[in-house]
Parts: sequence; C-alpha cells; structure tokens
Amino acid sequence: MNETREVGELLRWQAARAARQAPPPPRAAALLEQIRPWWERWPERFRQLADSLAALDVRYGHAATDPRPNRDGFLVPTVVVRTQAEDRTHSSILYFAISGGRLRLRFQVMPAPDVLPTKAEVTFVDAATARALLVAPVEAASSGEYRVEAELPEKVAAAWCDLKVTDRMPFHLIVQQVEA
Amino acid sequence: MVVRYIWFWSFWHWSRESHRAGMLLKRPLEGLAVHWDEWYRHEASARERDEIERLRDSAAEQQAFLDWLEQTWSREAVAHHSAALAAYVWRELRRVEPFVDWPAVVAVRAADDERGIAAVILAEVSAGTADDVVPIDAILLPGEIETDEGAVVAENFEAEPGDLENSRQAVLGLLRGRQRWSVAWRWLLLGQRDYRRGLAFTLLAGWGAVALGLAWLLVGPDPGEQLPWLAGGLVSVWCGLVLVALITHGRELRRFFRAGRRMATGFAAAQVRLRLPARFKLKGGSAGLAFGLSSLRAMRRAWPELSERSWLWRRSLERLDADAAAWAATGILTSEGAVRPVEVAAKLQACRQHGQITHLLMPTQTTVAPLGGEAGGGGRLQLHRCSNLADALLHVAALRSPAQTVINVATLGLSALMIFGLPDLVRILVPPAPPPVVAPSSPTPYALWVSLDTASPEFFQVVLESRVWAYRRADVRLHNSAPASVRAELRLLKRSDAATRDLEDGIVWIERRPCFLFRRFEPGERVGRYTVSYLNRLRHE
Amino acid sequence: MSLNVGPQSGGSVASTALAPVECGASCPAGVRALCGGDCRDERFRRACEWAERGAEARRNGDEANAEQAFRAALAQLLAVIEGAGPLTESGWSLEAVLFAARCALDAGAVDESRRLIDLCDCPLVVPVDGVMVELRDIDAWPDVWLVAAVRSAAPDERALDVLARRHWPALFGRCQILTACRDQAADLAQEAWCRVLRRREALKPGGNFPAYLQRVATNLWRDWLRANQRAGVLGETRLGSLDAEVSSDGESRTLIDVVPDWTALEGAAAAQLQEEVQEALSRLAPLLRDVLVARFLDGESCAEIGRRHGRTEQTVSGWIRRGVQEIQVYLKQSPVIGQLHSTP
Repeated sequence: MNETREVGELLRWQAARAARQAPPPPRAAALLEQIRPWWERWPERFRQLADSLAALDVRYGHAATDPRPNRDGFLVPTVVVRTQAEDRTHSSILYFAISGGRLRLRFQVMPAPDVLPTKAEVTFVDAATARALLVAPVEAASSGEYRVEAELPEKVAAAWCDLKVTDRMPFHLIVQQVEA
Repeated sequence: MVVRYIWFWSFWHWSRESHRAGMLLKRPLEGLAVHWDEWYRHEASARERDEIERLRDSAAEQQAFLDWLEQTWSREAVAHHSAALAAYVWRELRRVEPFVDWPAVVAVRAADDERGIAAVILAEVSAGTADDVVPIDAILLPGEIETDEGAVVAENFEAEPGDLENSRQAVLGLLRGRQRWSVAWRWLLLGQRDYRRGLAFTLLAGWGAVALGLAWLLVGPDPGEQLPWLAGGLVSVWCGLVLVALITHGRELRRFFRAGRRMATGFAAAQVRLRLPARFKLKGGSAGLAFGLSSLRAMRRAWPELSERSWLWRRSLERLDADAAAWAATGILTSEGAVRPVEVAAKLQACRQHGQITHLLMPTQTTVAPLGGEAGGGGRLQLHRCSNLADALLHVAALRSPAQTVINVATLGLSALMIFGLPDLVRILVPPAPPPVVAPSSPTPYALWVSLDTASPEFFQVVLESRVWAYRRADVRLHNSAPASVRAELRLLKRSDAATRDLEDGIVWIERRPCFLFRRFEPGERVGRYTVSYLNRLRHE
Repeated sequence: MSLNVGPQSGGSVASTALAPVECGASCPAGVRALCGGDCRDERFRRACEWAERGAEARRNGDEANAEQAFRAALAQLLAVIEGAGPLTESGWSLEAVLFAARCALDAGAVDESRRLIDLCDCPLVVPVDGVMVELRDIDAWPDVWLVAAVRSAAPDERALDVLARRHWPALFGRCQILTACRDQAADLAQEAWCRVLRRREALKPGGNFPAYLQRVATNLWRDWLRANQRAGVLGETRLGSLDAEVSSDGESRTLIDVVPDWTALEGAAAAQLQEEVQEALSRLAPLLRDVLVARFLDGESCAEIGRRHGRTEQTVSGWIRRGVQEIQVYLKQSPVIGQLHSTP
C-alpha cells in the first residue's frame, strides 16, 4: 500500500465517519425560504425603493464640445439603506467586467453619505422595468468604493456582456447594510 | 537584460488594457490606487503576490523598487521621466495593500503625508476640536500626462469646484500675475535679504557712513576746504550702495519672476490633486487659503529644480514645505489671490486644542474671538493676518524681518536725502560756471541790482565793496516783481566816512557759496568782478 | 425502471430534425416494455419518439430540449389517455398512464405525475411489476426525477427534502474535511445547498448531482479562502512559507506505519482515531487541506491543481508531500495513536 493511496483512503474514511455523524439536513421549506430574495419577501419595501431610484434617474442631454468619446461615464441612481437612514444618491462605475458569466464591478457612491455601511449587499434593479435582477454581497474598498463579484443569471449576462464602463448602465443600485 | 518587477509590469499592462477595453473608467495613472487594489486582490497570481510579499521585509529592497519606479518605469511606461510622476505614483500606491505597511512607506508617510498645511474644517456641531484641524496632502500630476479629470481634483472629499479653481487661479496669479508684484514689493520693503555675512556687514557700514556724512553736512562743523572731499566720498559711497542694492535686488527679482513664469507654465498644465485624510463634504470656501498654500508646497516637490533658481522662491517654498506641520490656514481665497474674512472663533479654538499647530494664518479682519482660555495651551498659537496669498506666503516663509524693515526705512530715508541733496553735492563737486552780469540794472539810484545769468542762483552771493557806499552782501535769487530776473538787490547807503564823492566808485564781487539742502557753507571763492559804473550802465529792463 | 441517463456527453438533439421512428429496435427498452412493441396508436408512437428524444438530449446535457421533449411526450400520452376513456382491464391504458407519469417526472412536472398516479387508484387496476411502487414512493425516486422536480421555478418541497436527506451526509463529510470544523462544515454545506438552489435552473438532472453539490461546496470554500487571504487573515500562513523545501530525514514512513489499520478499527477506537485525524487536518494550512482534498478525494492531478493556483506541478507536489508529512508527524506524536498501536 503506497502513501498516496493511504492518505486518500484515510481522508475518505474520515469523510465517511463525518457523514455518519452529520447533523440533520435543513428542511426544504427552510432552504427555500432562505434563498427567497428580499424583494419577494417584502415587495412593498422594494417597490418604495424602486420608486426612489426612478425619481433619481437623470436624463442626459448631450451638448458635447469635446470630440473625444465620453470618458466620464454615467452616474447610476443609488439608494443607500442603513439601519436608521436612507440616502438617495448616485454611483460612479469605476470598473465593469463580465467574464464567464461572472460580474466584477467596482463603484463609488458620490456624493457619499456621511456614513457608508462597510458590510452590505447590493441589489441590481433593471432601469427599464424596475424589476430586481440579482442581489450580491459587496466588499467595501478604499475611499468610499464598493466591489461586487457575482454570478449573473444567463439572460442578464448575455444582455450586459457588451457593456463598457463608460456606457449608460441598464441598472440602478440599492446598497443595503447587512447586520453583522 | 533582466526585467525586474515583472509583477508591476503585469499590473500596468492589465490596467492599460482594461481601460482600453472599456472596463476601467479612469486612465491608468488617474485611477492608479483603485486599479492596483483591483488587480492585487483579484487578478494577481499567487506567484506575483509571493514576489510582492518578498519585498515586505526588506527596506533596502523597497527603496530599490522606489528608485526603479522613478528611474526606469516612469521612463519606459509613460515616456516621461520625472520625479513628479514617480512621486505621484508612489503616493497613490502607498495607501493600498500591500504597500501600506511597508517600513519604507511608514517612514515616508510620517515625514510627508501627515505634515501638510492644515485647513480647519469644523464638524457640523463642533465648537472647535483638534479633530477639526485637517492636514492637506497635495501633489501635482505633470501636464504631459493625459488625463480626463479637471485641473484640480479633490480626492476623498467634495468641494465646490469654484473654490478649488479659485485656489488654482490664485496660485497662478502668484506665479505670473499681479500677486507676484505684491510679493516683490513686500519683500523689498519688509523682507529678509540673501546677503553673505561679510557683504551684509559692509553694506551696513556703508549706510552708517552715509548717515554720518549727511549728518556732518547738515548739522556738523563747516568742513571748509574739505567739503568737496566729503561730498565726493558721500556720493561715491551712496552710489556704491545703491548700485549693489540695484544689482542684487534686480537680479533676485529677475530670477524670481523668471522662475515664477516657469513654474506657472508647469502648474497651469499640471493637475493638482488635493487629498484630505478623512471623507469630507466641504461647505463654504474657508479652506481655500490652505488649498492654495498646499498647491505651492506640492510644486516645490514636483519641480525642486525650478525654485532653486530663485532665492526668494527657494526660501519661501522650502520653509513652506519644512514647517507645514506647524501651520494651519483659514480664509476664502479669491481667484485674484485676496484672502476674504471668515468666521474664526471656533477655528481658533480648534487650533489651540491641536498639539502641533503653533501658527494660524487668517484673514485681516476685526471680528476675532479673544484668545483667552487655557485649553490646549492657547498661548503658543500665533496669529498671522494676511490680506492676500503673497502675504500669507511671506508669513509662512518667515521672510518678514523687523530689523531689515528698520534698515530699509532708514536707507530709504537716507537715500531720499541723498537724492534731494544730490544736485547740491554735484555742484559742490563740479561748481557752476561764473555767471555773467546781465540787464536789468536797478531803475532807482537807491539800489543796485546785480542780475546774473545763472540757473543756480542759490549758489551765488554778491558783495559790494566801495569807498562811498556801505559794505553790502546779498543772496542771488529769483525776483518775480517786474522786471523779473535772477538777481541780487543791494540797497545803497552812503558811508559817513566816504573817502570820495564819486558815486560810481565801488566793485561788485560775485562769490560762489556752496550749500547742501538747507545748509549754506562759508562763502567761497570770488568768481566775478564788476564795477558799479558798469552795472549802472546796464539797461533797466 | 426509469429514463435515467448516464454521464453527459457533447452534442445536442436540438439541432437534429425529428424524423419518424419505427417502433421496434430503436424504441427505448423501458418504453417497449410498456407498450409491448405494439405501437398501433399513432399518438403513443409519437410519445415514444419524444421520450427517446428527451432521453437523448438529457444524455447530451441539453436540459432545455430534454424537458421540452418530455413535455411533448406527456402531451401525446395525455391525449391517448383521454381518448381511451376510463381505465379498463386490458392494461393498455394503464401502461399509458404509467408512461405519462414517468414522462411527467422526467419533465419535472411532479403534480401532473401525482395526478396521473392517482388515476390508478382503482380496484380494476393491476399493478405492473412494482412500477407503481417506485412511482408512488418519493423516497425511491432516482436523483434524476428529484432534481427535475427541484429545478423548476416552483421547486417541489417533498422532492427537495428527499434530495437533501439523501446527499446531506456526504456533503457534510466533505465540508468537514475542508473546514476541519463541525460548525463551519454545517454552514458551508448549507450555503452550498443555497447556492445550488439559487441557480437551480442550471441543474442537470442527468448529471452526477452529489458530485456537483460537492464541487459547489469546494468552490465556495475556495472563495472563502480567497476572501480571507485578501483580508489578510492568512497573513500568517503565506504561500511563501509553503514553498520551502520539505525536509527529508531519509525515513520514509507510510501512514500504515504510523496509524493502525483504520479499516479494522471500531467503536471508541475508531472515534479516537477520527478525532486525531480531525485535529491533524485542522492543524494544516487551509490551502494544504484544499490541495489534499483536490488530489486525493477529487482525483485532480498536480498539474491541474497547479494551474488553479498559478504554480508549477513540482510546487504542488511539494505541498502535497508537506501536507502528508505534517499529518504523519502529528499522528506519530499523538499519545492516542500510540495507545491504539499498543491495543491488540
């Protein structure tokens, strides 16, 4: 019996022993409740925030003086929801990349509220239909920036894959504080 | 050839390509810190992270990396080799992982970032605490670097764009506009000089000699025949002193203006990036003066060689850079460079509470809270009132010198005397030619008029010597009564002991008599001789 | 008996035209058993064709077409059933109902399947070879039906419960090896389930569901590791330290020299060994645990692991040696293992 096989067998044995002593599995109902997105659990709250976002939307008029393409990007309407407060603001998208169905996004809330939650999740809301698209945890980066890395639903990934960071984003953002 | 720091090249190319592909909003240099953070956390391979980690424990290696950034990378990556660019890159990198706690970084940050000129930014309900004193970190991104952002970028805070632009315009005005004249004349009048000790002593002695010479001429004993020597010496010394002053000050001002213009060219094209240590949304423009001074400080760091050419700039910016940690500033800065009044009571309190601030620049205004109170050792805080940016710079650079001001006033006074008395001194040295006697003569037999054709009547006297008429001496001056002429009028009085009955007996002498301002010296040589009969025969008109 | 399919392979039936199929040799064995090779009814024959297409698509991993085909087969069969009127003793219609129920389960239409099975609750119906039992007993359903029931927009709770009961222990075992902590393992396993359910439309009933579940858990664990690494939590266990040469004292011992034959241990002794192995694993750097799991439980090669970590095959090989050596060293020094050795 060589060493490699032995380690493999020992690990399998250990895993099998752990499996036998596993706690009971979670109930299906609990699992399904756990994965239900918040906008389905509290549709009224979502509708209220979506209305706030719609009110924040900016209509851009182009009176360009510079022949170079727009490099400033477009501000994305954003609502920052904290425990005691709700700030209606905008976000500047700093980095936007989709690869293999995964979204990598970095945005800066500007003007930033006095206090930005460090532990939060962001909900992407379709700018056209005001439907929630996905929710993902955000990582607070430096200088009031947030970073998102999330698996996109196939349809969303297909629709967004050609977007550039300077394009007008087809989504609005809801940043919600997550209790530690 | 060994390619060093491949990981940094990997990052740089990722950043450039991502920006080109429309994934990164900001250009590679503008968003350097954000891009690095993204790359290091999510793109760097384990091997690259390892290589970076290996630099962590060696300060020498870290220094080598910094040198490489300045000498190799900046030249190859952006075809622009400058300390300013490397300084910018390093400032951006040193606030993100993993550089943030490198020993080399910690040392630099302690000596650099946290020692900027401070603005006093009051929290919403603050009555003035140490936390309200916020050092400003400013850096310039050279104009050769293409950017998408404005000329002044507020990092980590929000401010009215107009306030930031005003600060920039004020700095430009100081470098190449009206404000530089303000610096120039203030310095000439009040500022310290860059004299070597020997020269300074010589100049002081020279001015002392001028003062003594003038005093002698004005109130001293009559120098008699030594007068031309005294006047010559005085004029020579004074001219020498003036010449030295003109040459040294002219040269310094020329350098000051020229360096200012060069710095202005760079500054106008550069991007000023201002950063505050904590996120702020500024309301009001009272940080404008601090922004302006911080921009000047950044310029010293960006182009040290430019300010080196002018002592005035070097001295000002060096002091601004070295002593910044002890200074706070408050005041609205207009685009013309004027400092407008602000509310200062809480700001004074904040500075008093701060342990390191010992000087506060503030506008010239009457509404200042009393400096009483023991909190924070308020006695150490010195207030400097300034009406414009130039004034503020002179305060920070400690260019104002009371002793020099006294000397300047004294030398200006002496020079004024010299200038007023210079014609007299010249005439002492080069006496005017003897003037001929011309018409008119006296229309009355009771007087004798001696009219002279001269432009310097005060320098002559007329003396009558006769056996019939009494001895007479009279000043020559301009008489406006008709007929107007430059003349001496001698009232004739018959002598009781007249030796002759010839009423035309007598000689009129023209004497030269030196004078200096209000002082007339003893009469001098006789330069003309006329008979009374000759004078009587001149026309009356 | 079900239309369960084997491992997925490339290709898709969606691109091939649906040509008429003669009932007979090409008819799936299971279907032929039901219709007895006698496809006199055109609709029944077409249902067979659709079912075959569905099975083919599922084998190829084309789940969208598979579900569509099974639903088409179900529709044909429902037409047959409704046309045949009440169930008779002939058994022909019963076979159609059972076939339809199976197609419904393959399509994930659990409620439709139950409705059809309920039709068979009739004294005249004669059970067919235990097929009824399999259809009625959800615990007996194969993964393919359970997964098909779960992947729909409104997942079937009972199917999910069964699926969870069936695969939870193995998943937990894997998670415990990865995390070396019972609480973290439970969290990780539950999170893996949530991840799977959130993207349930991507589930492939024809695939190896437990393997997929374990892969999701492993990937989650790696994400956690990466996040911790970014946050500096792993600062003390930097990769650089793992790259150091593994000391070789020339004494190559296998585990069997160190640990008594674990397969022969029972009761308290086995529990003691389990504790010690758990402790040994928990002392390993998380990265080493990950690498050992990938190598020995998932059967990945050193080259594959190296590609994932941006390292050479030799480096990964070194990590594995180090991991094994650290386990050996710990177990060798363990007094509990010593006692186990001395115990006859």
